[in-house]
Amino acid sequence: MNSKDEHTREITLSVHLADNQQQAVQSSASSAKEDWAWDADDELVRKFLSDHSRPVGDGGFTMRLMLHLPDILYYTMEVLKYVACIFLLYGMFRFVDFSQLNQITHLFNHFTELASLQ
Amino acid sequence: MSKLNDLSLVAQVIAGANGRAFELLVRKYQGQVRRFFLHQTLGDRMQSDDLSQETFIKAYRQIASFRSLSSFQTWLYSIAYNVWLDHLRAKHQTIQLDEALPVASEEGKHNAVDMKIDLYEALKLLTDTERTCITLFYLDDLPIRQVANITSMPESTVKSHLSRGKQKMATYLKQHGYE
Repeated sequence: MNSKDEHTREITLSVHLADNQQQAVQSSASSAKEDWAWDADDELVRKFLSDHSRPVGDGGFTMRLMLHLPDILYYTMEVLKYVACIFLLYGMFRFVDFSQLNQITHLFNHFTELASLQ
Repeated sequence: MSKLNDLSLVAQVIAGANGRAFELLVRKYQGQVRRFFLHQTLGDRMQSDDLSQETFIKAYRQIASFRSLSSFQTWLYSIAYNVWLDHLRAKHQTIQLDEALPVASEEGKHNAVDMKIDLYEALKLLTDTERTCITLFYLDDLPIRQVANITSMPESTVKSHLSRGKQKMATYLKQHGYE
C-alpha cells in the first residue's frame, strides 16, 4: 500500500468516527425542532411552499461548474479525451481506405505462411 | 449514488484520491443550493446559477477546512448564505440587509403564471433574513438549530424571524384564499 492510499485510509477512518459524532448532533438537532410550537399557520406556509416549489434539475450545471473549478485537471482531461476520440473516429472514416483491408489481410497471411515454412 | 457518504467523499476530495468525488457532491446538492438562491433572488435563474457556482467553487477551495462538526449540507448552506450576504452587500452597500428586497424577476412570475398565487410575490413580503429562515425551515425541513448554524444567529433570533415571516405569509395566503 502506498503512502497516498494510507493517507486516504486514515482520513476515511477519521471521518467515520466524525460521522458517528455528527449523527448524534443531528439527532439532537431534530429534537430541537420539537421546541417549535407547530400550528395551522405553519402547516399552511409549508403546504404553500412545497406546492409551489419545483425541484431544480441539473441541466448541465454540474458539467459547467466542474469546468470552472480551479486546479482540477480531471475534467479538462476528460473533455480532451472525448475530443481526441471524435478526431480519431473522424480521421479513421475520412482517410482510411477500407477497400485495402483485404490486401493487407492477404499480405499478413502470406508472411505468416513464410514464417511457418522457415 | 454509491454507499459512499458525504464525509467519505470529502475525504477523497482532500486526499485527491478520486477525481469524481467532488462532482458527486455537486450533483447531490446542486438542486438544493440552486433552489435556495432561486428563492433568495425571487426567481432570477441566471443570478441564482451564478451564485450557486460561486458557492461550489468556494466550497471546493475551502474543503480542507471542513471539520465535520456540522453536516456537509449545513457547511455548504452556510457558504451559500455568506455568498448571498456578500452579494447583497455589493449590491445594496449602505442599505441594511433586512430592508433589502430584490424585485421579483419576470421569469419567476412567468413560470408561476399557471398558479393561483405567485410564490415569489409571497416571498417578496419577507425581509431577506426572514426569507432565508422560512425557506430553510419549511422547505428544506432543516431544524432550527441547523438554520441557526447556517445563518450564525442565535436560535431565539431564528425563531423570531420564523414567527414574523410565518405571520406575514399566512396573512397573505389567507387574504388570497389559499387554504
